Amino acid sequence: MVAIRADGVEDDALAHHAISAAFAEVATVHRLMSFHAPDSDVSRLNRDAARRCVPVDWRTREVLAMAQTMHRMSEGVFDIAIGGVLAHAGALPCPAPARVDLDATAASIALDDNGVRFHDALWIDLGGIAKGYAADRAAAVLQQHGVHQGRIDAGGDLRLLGAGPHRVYLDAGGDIGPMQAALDTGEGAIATSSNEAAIRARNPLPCGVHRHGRTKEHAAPGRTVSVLADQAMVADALTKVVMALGPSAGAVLALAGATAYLREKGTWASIRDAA
Amino acid sequence: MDHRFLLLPVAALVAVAPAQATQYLSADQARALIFPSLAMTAQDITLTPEQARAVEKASGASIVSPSMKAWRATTGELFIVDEVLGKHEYITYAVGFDASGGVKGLEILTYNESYGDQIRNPAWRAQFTGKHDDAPLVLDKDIQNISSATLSCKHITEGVRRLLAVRKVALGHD
Repeated sequence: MVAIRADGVEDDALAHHAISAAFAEVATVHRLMSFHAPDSDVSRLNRDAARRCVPVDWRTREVLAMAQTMHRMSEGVFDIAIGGVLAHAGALPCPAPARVDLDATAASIALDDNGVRFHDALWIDLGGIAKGYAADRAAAVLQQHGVHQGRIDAGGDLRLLGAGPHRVYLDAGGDIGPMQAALDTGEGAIATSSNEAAIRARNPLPCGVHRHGRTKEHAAPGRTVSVLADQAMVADALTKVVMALGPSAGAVLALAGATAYLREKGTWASIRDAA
Repeated sequence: MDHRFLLLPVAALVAVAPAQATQYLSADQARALIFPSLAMTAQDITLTPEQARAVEKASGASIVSPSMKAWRATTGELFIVDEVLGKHEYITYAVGFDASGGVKGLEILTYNESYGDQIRNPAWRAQFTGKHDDAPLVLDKDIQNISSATLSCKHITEGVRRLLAVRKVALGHD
């Protein structure tokens, strides 16, 4: 579910036109990056990229490039090559009869001018980054239409336009206790991710999708994390890193120029770089 | 990214909810907009159960509260403040009737939701001007819809229909 809001536009027709164009862009990103749709760029890559170079849309390329950057920055904790592991665990459907190497990493992905090539047999899943990217693209389309204030809520990934301040309440699921956490912020992005039982229960998947990219271990249970960054794509990807690393994610956040708040055992704390 | 992390007491949040509440006009301001410099006396309306049923039957709109704030002029003008449900929250609105019972003006007093407030648009509200209790007042027929504010439009339209019936039933006007 995606909600888009445009503010500060005098002409209603213009605002509606901008919002429609932004929704169309979100749909395009979804179509390109779906793990499930057989004709998406992701499915074409998972089927063929281990055998030959596969041309992709420029948007898919942008996401893959950022995914590689996040993979390097997080020293492998964020890894879109987790698709094979998730499919084998039943969280994603197994695509095609293609062979998959469950130990392959995003380091085996090569981007060049002609397209994308995998040096190992791997299945990528952009579920940890594409939703944030869709919010970024929707924001860019709104701006192209002259809308400079608003918000795009891509279900957990929030992209805020305009100086605000925007107040965002953080949903940790279940009993929040006597205090509600909130952020007051300007232009930028906030992504929130959780494996709290109450949040997990809203999700039909048979197992958790939060895994450490290197160890493939499940993230510690009962964590909720909110990451602030300039781009929703970056914030989205970093929630997976903080889910996996917990309080020791500070160094990665500092590298990415992001901030995070982590809730464990009912208490919120900001994550700082220990170095 | 510049930001501030806040922990807000939940009790206080409940007390200030809804966060989007916007009061645009007080009842007196709305009355002055519709009836500039007309002397009116506060005289609230409370419908009896029979009257409430008659209003619901005549207007096809259910009564939110049988009591509503009203002001009357000796020359026959009437001003009523009422509430309708928007999408999730109540909208407070007011309708002024001229001496013949026609709608003279519609004003939105408070609006509590973050979307749908296009009903404040003067051109949309002007569609009600001159309507009497014989007008159908049906969305997409004699009242145009606003696509992103359908529920607010529909409920305000029903509200005006209801107040036309209140005027007729409670005050015995024809």
